[in-house]
This record gives sequence, C-alpha cells and structure tokens, in this order.
Amino acid sequence: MLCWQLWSEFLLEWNLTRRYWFDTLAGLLASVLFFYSMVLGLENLTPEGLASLGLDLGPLLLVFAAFNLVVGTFQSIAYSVQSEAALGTLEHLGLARGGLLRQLLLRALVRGLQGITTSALVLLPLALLLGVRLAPAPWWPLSLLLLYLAALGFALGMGALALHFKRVEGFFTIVQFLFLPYFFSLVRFAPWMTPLPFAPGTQLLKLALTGEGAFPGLLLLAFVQALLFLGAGLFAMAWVYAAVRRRGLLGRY
Amino acid sequence: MRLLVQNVHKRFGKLEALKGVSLELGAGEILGLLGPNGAGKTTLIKVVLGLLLPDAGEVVLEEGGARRRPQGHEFGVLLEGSRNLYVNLSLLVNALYFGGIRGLPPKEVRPRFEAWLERFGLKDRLHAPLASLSRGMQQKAALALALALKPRFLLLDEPTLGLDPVSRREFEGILLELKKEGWGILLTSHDLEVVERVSDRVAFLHRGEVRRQGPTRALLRDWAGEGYRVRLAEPKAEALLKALGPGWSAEGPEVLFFLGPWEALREVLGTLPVEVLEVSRGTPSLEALFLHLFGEARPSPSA
Repeated sequence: MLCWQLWSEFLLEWNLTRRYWFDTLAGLLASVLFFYSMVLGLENLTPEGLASLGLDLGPLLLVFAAFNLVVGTFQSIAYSVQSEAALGTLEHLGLARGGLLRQLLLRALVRGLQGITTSALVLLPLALLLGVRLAPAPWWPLSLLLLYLAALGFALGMGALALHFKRVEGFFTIVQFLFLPYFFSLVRFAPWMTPLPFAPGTQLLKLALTGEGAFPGLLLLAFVQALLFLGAGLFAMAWVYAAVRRRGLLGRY
Repeated sequence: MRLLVQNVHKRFGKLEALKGVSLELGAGEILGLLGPNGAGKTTLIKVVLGLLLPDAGEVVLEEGGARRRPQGHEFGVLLEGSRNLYVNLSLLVNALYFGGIRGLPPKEVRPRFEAWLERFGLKDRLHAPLASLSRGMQQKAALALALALKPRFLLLDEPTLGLDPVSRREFEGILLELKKEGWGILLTSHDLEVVERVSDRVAFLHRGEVRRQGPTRALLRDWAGEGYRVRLAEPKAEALLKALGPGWSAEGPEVLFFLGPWEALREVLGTLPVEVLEVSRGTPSLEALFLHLFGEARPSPSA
C-alpha cells in the first residue's frame, strides 16, 4: 500500500517536471549563475584573489550546495500545501491512506531526492567551472542524509505554518535572506558553531566531500539535531493539522 | 455494513453548524441529504470523511458486529466547491495518482477508470489534460475516478452540477445500478427530481438540524392529505409562481401544486388571474415538500 503512495508521488513529480521542464532547467541555471556571479563579483572586488580574504572556494561551494539543499527542502512541504490549497485539491490529499501527513512526508521524500539531484547538478558544473576538486569520502551519503533529515524536520515546521496561513511566500523570503549569510558564516567553521542549526550537518558534508575523516562527536550531534528537528517538525505538523480540521480551515483560507 | 453518524455537533465560533445530527447509511442504499444553502450538508460530509473534527458525537462504520472509525480513503468522494482533480494533468495521471495515494495499484485503477470513462463517453480523452474539458466533462471525469476507486461508500456533493440533461439521466441510471450492486451512497443535491427518483430515504437538514428523515415514498405519502394540485386553463404556472407565497411549486406549464391547509388555498384561489379548471388532492413532489419546509416556517401536519 505504502509503495503505491510513494509511487504516486514519483508519478506526480515526473509529470510536473516533464510538463514544466523549461522552468526546471531555468531554476538550475539560475542557481549556477547566482553562485558563479557572486564569486566573480568577489574576485573583482579583491584583485589579489579570494585567498587574500581568507576564503577558500572549495568550502564556499560546498556550503552553497548545503544551503541549496536545505532551502529547497524547507520549502517543499509548505509549497505543496500552498499550491494544493490554491488548486482546491488539499482535502483530497487528506483522504490518502494514512492521512495528509503521511502523504506529504512521502512527497517531501520524493522532492528531497529531486533536491539532492538538483544540488548535485548545481555543484558539479560549478566545481568544474571554478576548478574545485571534490574527493568524496565513503561516508558522504551519511552526512547528506543527516543534513537532509534536519532540513526535513524544518520543512515540516514550515509546512505547519503553510497549513494554517496557506500563503507564506513573504515569510520564506525572509528565511532565505537570513539563511544565506548564516550558511556562509559556516564556511569558516569554528567549534563553538557546532550546536547551531544545520551547522554539524553542513560541516560533515564539507568534510565528507573533501575526503576528510568523520568526527564521531560531530556525527552524533548531527544525528541528535536531525532527530530533534524531525520530532519537532512532526509534532508541529500533527498539531496544526488537527487544529485546522477542528476549525474547518483545511481546504480553504 | 452500515455507516452511522451519531449525535454530531460542530460549531464555528458563534455559528452552530451541526446540532446533534444522527444519520444512518446502509450498503445498497441511497440516502438523499437535502437542505437549503448553509444547512450544514457539506460540513456533515467533511465530518464523515474526517476532514473536519466534530466537537461532539462520532462517525462509526459497523461491520459484522465490529465498530470502528472509518478512514477517509474508504470513501469515494465528489466535493462541491473544490477541485476534485489536477487541472493541468491528464485524466489518466490524475486517476493513477489519486488511486495511488489511497494505496491502489495502477493495474487495478486503470481498467476500472477506463471502463467508467467509456461509459461517460470520455474514453478518447484519457490522455487529455483536465483543463481541456468542459465543466460538465470535468465533473464526469471526477465521478469516473470516484467510482474507479471502488470505495465502500460514495459521498456525492452536488454531483449533477454542470451535467447536461442526457448525462444527468444517465447518471441516475448509474446510481441505481450501483445501489443494486450493494454500494451505499450519500447524495446531496438541489436537483430534487433526481433525488426523488433514486433515493430510498431522505433527510432534511436545516440550520444544522435534521428536521425530518425517513423513506422517500413514505415521507411524501405522509403529506398527501395536505397537498393540492391546481390545473389552470392557461400555461401560466411559472409566471404565477413569482406572485404566490411559500408552499407553491409548478409541476408543468398548466399545473400548480400547493402544500398547506385547504383554508389557505381557498383564499388564494379566488384571487388567481387565471381560470382554474380543477383542484384535486395529491402527493407532493420532493421539491414541493422542500419548498414547504424551507420556504417559510409553517406548522406541519404532524406538528
């Protein structure tokens, strides 16, 4: 039963990507251009090169990839809720086997896989373009999974907001603007940053993709953070789902 | 197998949308849920589906002595005022997606969906996006999907909306066939002729309360002594209706129906600007009864 629910989300995603392929391609190109133009701008400002600012392109690029993944994931559930509410099909998702929450989680999983693919498609050309050498360690999928799960927990929290308010683009723009400097501050990772949101996962991903060894403490912290975020997100979503069903706000604004 | 709605209350702020509603729907039965706009019909359907949580009361599925809360995926649904399918995707993708989220594999959903589309004359539109279909065709496609999911109960909220008269008649036939096959169907519609022809029982909902419910024929028979058929010499029934008060309905160009006391009818008959050929007692239609119950508060024969 569950496999068909997951399959149906793949089917929907495939059909939407196929139908709106131009927008998907443009989105990918926009991410590549965004980072590349940022690097070009910085290099023009500092004729001595980024190294003179103490910046290394490798970590910068990897943090950007982590930022891309987290931002892509945190919007996934909320935008689903928002667009389904606007289309008028949200209540039909509520009739899925296991309810709305399960179906949205499955959708987030599919969109997460798509987000990882997209991040890779942004990362690889940029690495080639900027001459950054990636040396993935064997445990890189684990670092990616931990960062993704933390982002998924955050996405559930944002989904809860969307379930209540239905339109949340303005708030997401604020979050994105806050996330950009926040993530770039993680380029120069310092031990005191370890407990900050997404910091252990991002640092792990950086270490994993540059071929360095994993620190057990960092791994444990990333794992605990992912669990905490996921638990809090699930709780928020379940609570708001019950609240909107009590107040009759599920299918309308 | 029976679906039981037991003493359901629902309040939105100051508005008490449902006030202790109790209903029952068995397998192989069509229940017509009638009421004016804002009576609470859609609210009740959403409570049954679990899309709205009631303040009190419960919805129970009784099967072989066991009782449990039914799950949303066990119902086939047409919701009024909401899109039932994705407009930019093809009918087939819609069917496979909505079947899939209910845990049904494509090999089960597709043949059933195609068979229903064929029946509705839409088989050649299987790969067309929903948006390319007319309003009535979209309604048929949504109905075909609700049927293809082979649910335990069908909840149809205004299913004949946008259907042409031929499709409407065909839809009636399908409902009767489904009933014979053992489906339980809850039908809300303002198309009272359809409801009268197909439903075994009706429930009148008004301001969140079930005012009256029972077998359709018996309910109408109860009012037979209170109804009068007035045959006119000229086809002016519709024109006269505008000037007449509550309780009146038109049964054709030359036939008016009045549901109410004889004294009230006698008063009006003398003022009609058209010659009256005949006045006879008669069983009211569901529409006449509806207009009588909701046109204006008026004492009922059993009150």
